[in-house]
Formats: sequence, C-alpha cells, structure tokens
Amino acid sequence: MLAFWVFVKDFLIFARNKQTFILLIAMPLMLIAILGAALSGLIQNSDEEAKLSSFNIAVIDKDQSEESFFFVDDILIDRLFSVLNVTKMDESKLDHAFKTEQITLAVIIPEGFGNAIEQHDKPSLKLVSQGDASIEESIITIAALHYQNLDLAISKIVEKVTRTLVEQSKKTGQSPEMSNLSDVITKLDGGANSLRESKNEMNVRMGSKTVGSFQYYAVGMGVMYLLITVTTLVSNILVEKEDPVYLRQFVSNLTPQQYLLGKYLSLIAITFIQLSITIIGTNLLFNVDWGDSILCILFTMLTTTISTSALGLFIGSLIKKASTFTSMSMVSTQILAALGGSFVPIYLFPDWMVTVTKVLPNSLGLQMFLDIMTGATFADIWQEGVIALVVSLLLFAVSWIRLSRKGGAIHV
Amino acid sequence: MLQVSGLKKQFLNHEVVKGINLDIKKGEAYGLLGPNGAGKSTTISMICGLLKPTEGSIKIGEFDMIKQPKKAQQKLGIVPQEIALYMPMTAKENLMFWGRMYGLKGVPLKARVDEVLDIIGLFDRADDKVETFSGGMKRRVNIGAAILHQPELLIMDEPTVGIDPQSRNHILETVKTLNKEGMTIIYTSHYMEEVEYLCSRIGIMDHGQLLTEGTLTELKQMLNDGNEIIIQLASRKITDEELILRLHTKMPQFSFTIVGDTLRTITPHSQVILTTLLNELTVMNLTVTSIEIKEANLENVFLHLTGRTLRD
Repeated sequence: MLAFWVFVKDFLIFARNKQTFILLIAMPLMLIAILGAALSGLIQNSDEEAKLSSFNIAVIDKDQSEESFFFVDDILIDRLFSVLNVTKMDESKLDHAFKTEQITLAVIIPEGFGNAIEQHDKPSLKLVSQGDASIEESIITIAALHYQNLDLAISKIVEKVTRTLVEQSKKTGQSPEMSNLSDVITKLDGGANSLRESKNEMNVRMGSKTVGSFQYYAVGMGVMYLLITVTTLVSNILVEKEDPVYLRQFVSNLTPQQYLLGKYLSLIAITFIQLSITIIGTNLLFNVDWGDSILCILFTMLTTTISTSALGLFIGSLIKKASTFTSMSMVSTQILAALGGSFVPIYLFPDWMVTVTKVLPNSLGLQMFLDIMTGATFADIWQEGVIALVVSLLLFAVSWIRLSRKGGAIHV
Repeated sequence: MLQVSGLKKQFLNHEVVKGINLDIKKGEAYGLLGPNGAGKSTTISMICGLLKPTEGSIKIGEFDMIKQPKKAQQKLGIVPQEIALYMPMTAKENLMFWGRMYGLKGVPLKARVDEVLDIIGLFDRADDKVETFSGGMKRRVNIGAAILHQPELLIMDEPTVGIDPQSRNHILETVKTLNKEGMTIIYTSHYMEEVEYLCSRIGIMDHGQLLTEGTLTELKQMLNDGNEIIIQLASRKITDEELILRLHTKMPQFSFTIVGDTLRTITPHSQVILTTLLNELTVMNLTVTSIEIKEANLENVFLHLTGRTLRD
C-alpha cells in the first residue's frame, strides 16, 4: 500500500511539472506531426513504388539437369508466379534484355548445380543485375535456399517469405540490403540452417495487411519516445536519491523494496499514458491505423510499458549519480532506439544483432505493434508479450536484489 | 528512551565516531553540541537507522535499531538539517504523504494533519505549494512532517538554520511545548542560546567523541562559575602571538584568546584580574576602547574543552 502512495505522489509531481509534462506528452505528437508532414511526399512515393506486383527476370540454365529444371519450372515459375515474370533465354541475349529494360535481374544456373544438390552440397547461382534489383535478388536467394533443402513444407513458406519481403520493403520504402552480388552468393553458400532460422523468425500470416511507411514511423517514434520518457523519469528518481527526502522516506515505515515498487508503478503509469496519447493522437490526427484489435493494442501497450520501465529501473539501479545517468542517457536511448528498430527495420541488421534485439523491450514492443497493424490476433503476439514480461521480471528482480544488497531496510 | 552504547563508525580508515555512549531518559530534552565535522550528523544517522554502525548498539524504547529497524523507527521522528519535502506539493499534501508513510490513514490522518498544521502555524497556508513558502515556513512544515505520527523521540538536526527570527521563535516554542507534553527531544544546533533555552541536558562532541555531558549548571561549573572578560583594543603594533605570550608570562594561571581586536579570558575572580590585566595592557602601550564582563555560557565551556569556537 505504501508503494501505491509513492506512486500517487510521483504522479502528482509529474503532472504539476508543466515542462516535463509537455516534453513527454505533447512532444511525441508534435515530432510525429512535423516530421510526418515534412516526409509525407517521400513516404507516399515509397509506398507507391512498393506496389509493384511482380519483377521481370531472366533465367539462363547452363546445367540443363533435372534439378535445374525443377528449380526453374517448379519454384521460380510455378510457385513465385505472383512476384516473378520468368523468361528463359540464352546468355547471348542477356545484354539486349538489360538494355531494353525487359528484365532487372538475370539468374545464371552454372554447370554442376544439379550435382551439388544431389550430393547435398552447397549449390551456387550467379545473379546479374542492372541498377537496384535487391528485392529480386533476395527472392532468388531464398528460393535457392529452399530448393537446396528440398523440403515440401518449406516450399510453401518460401512463397510466404517472399511476400513478406515485399511487404517489408513497402513498410519502409527501402529495399533489403543485398545489392552486392558477392553478398548474395555468400548467403547462398550459407547452407540450409539459414533457411531454417528464417523460417522460425518470420511470422507469416495469410491475408495480412500491409504496414505503410507512416505507420512504421509512428510506431518507431512512439516507442523511442517511450524510452526517452523512461530515461527522464529514471533521471528524476536519481535526482531524488540525492535529495534529503530520499533518506527521510526510509526513516518511515517505507522499505526500499516498497519504494522501488512505487517508482516502478509510476513509471508504468506515466509511460502508459504517454503511449495512449501517442496512439490516439496519431490515429485521430494522421489516420494512423494501429490495428483492429483493441485487446492486442492494450496488451502490447501494457507489456511494452512494463518492460521498458523495468529496463529503465535496472539501468538506474546500476548508476549512483543523476549527472552520470543524464550524460549517458541520451546516447544509450538512441542506441536502444536504433537497436529496437525505431530508425531502421530490424531485419536489416546482422544476424547477431537481430538475436540481441529479440529481448530488447522496445524492440519487442515495436514488433508487436507492427504485427497488430498487419492484422495479427492475440494468438500471434502473446508469445512476444510473455517474453517482454519475463524480461521485465528479470530486470526488476535484479534491481530489487541490488537495492537489498546495499543494506535493505537500513543503510539505504 | 534512547540508549547508545559504544557506537563507532569507520569510513575506510577514518573513524568518524569513536565510541559514543548516550542514555537519554523519556521526556528529556537533550542538546548535542559540536562544530562541523564533530560527528554529530553521523551519530544521528546511525540512531535513525540510516547508517549501519561499525560497532556498538542503539536501543530506542524496547527496540534494537539494528535488529528491528522499522519498529524502532516507528518510535522516532526526524527533522533533517535540510528541507526534506516535496516542493511542488502543498503543505497539506506533504503532510498527508508523510503521514501515510508512517501508517496513518483515513479520518485520523486528516484530523492529525489539521492538528499539525495548527501546531506549526500554517493552517491558513495548508493548500499553498511548499515552493512558495519562506525558508522559515518550509522549516516549520519540515518539523510538522516529523511529528505527525506522534513519535516518542524527536531528533532535530539544526532545525533553525537560516531562518527569520519570527519563525525561529515559533519553532523554539513548538519544540518547548512538545517536550512539555512528554516528547523526548534530541536537539543539535550551532546556536548556544537555543540549546540553553530548550535542553535540560547537553552533550558536547568533537572529533567523534562525546567530550562531556551534563546540565547547563554542571557544565558551567567546569569553568568554576567564572565570568568572561571581553576587552576591545585599538589598533596596535604588537602581534597577537606576542601579546598572548606577554600576558601569559605575567598571569600564567589564565588562558587568553584574541580574535581581531577582541581579547578574552574566563575567570571566577574577574574584578581582581581585571586590574592586573589593564595595568599590563597600559605597560604595553595598548589602548582599551571597551570592557565587558559577562557570565560564562556554553560557548565558553566549548572553548574551554576544545580550544576552538563552535563555528570554527
């Protein structure tokens, strides 16, 4: 109960500080509005470009094996007909096809392709492109990996993965980062495990909606501001730690643990309000569609605010002085925001970074919001929410233990 | 009410408190005097349970502060040296908050807050934010927050620093009344007259040790019930050291101090020594501009015990 009164007191002080209140509540909306207006033309164009339904590619089959025929006919032509217009041609006609812009990418199947498949070796393909054909390259890469595994269950996934790639490019107006041919070949050589990981990572739903650039931008900014708010509030906690009121509290019945819980409650409440205003504000002012499921949105808001608050509390428990925290917070917030996908989509990161970001509260929140925007149901997002809650619990427990080790009820 | 035994506190290799013993009876007003760095605040922090002693024991009522800190803390109220209040909140909101922190709630809490607002003389300003208050008013709320739960022991650490005379008088009267009503008080201050006015027993601390303690009369007896002679000198050529040396040579049984142009000494035979002293000053061609003889006070006791003034 005492923790509740600590929360009430903190909330009252927060609400009365007009400067902080405006900074944390109104600023996200203002920033989204100003930058949104400035970038609207750019964002609109990107969205339109992303509406291309298919790409024209050429295939030069030098192997002429059963395996190469299967790869071209069954996978590239039959299964990927919705995104690829495949033309089989001789290598001699390639220059002309590029010059007349009939194709954007050529796939050359070298001799020995079939043998490599038969011997369960790593096959290679040569991709030739003119201009930016990174999306097409990505599609071919995944298709080839799929073929290497010869897994019928996976073959269905490939089609969905391909669609997801196109959708993701629509979200950001950016193409997947694989414009370099050597990169593509390396990825092809990466083996079957890469595909299995991809299969596990991507949550593909049939009939899902497309997330627009402005939607992604609103989510990214909203989550980033959540981090800024947590940072500011934790900084306030550390300032209070240097104030005589901090020690006075512990001469009363209040224990350090109740104090920590009270602070945590106030962090959650304030960030929840901020996120609510961001969501409602962007929806009303800029028609940002945050998804159809109110339950999912509320669940995501709750798990995101709980986990980002725990993260802030944890960092705060590691640092003694407010001045140290303040000087570090700006940089760390930007790093966390970047790692969490607020600036660029997470799938553009290297694999190890993607793994790290899987447990970052802001990253989980962002991903859950994006999923809801594409039409995810509670069954699709609950796991990410549970991960966020488990992470929160761990971070809060560590903060709790750190405070207890400092002396518990006495010697705070 | 408070029993402190062999209390020590060491920070790294520096021993700040060196074995303090205190036994303060219920209803007593105890003054703790000492200059900055004497170890008063560290001692108080340990008594309040905010700092773990390196050695020794603290008992408040029947509770051991180290073993049962929350039960022991329930019996005490602390008025910190600095204002420990939430500035954006009103006086009433602050008191409500601190009352809740001490376990008060509902109607009794509201009634007690009104009562305390009346005691500290801020009933009319209850709904004003503390940040709009003068230093004295803030200090009064600071005291109010400490007495909400009607503690048996009230510890006041320099509660009147930097405030106007009106607020100071109000605070002194409030403390006096609380003590008369049975509350045990520990009062630390630089202001001797406050301690003299409020406290029935006084302890003098320096360098982490309790040098002496007793009633005001007992302490003054350490100076043989002497008086202080204060002589103002005109500008002179002789140095302070030279002057003290020559006086000490002529009157070895007395100790003299000189600060600026003011020469001081304490003696139970002020009339006799004054004649000798004036003769010596005349021999040294020094001009006396004024002479004052007054009863020795705590400052003199402190000077006598430590060789320095409280504000050094």
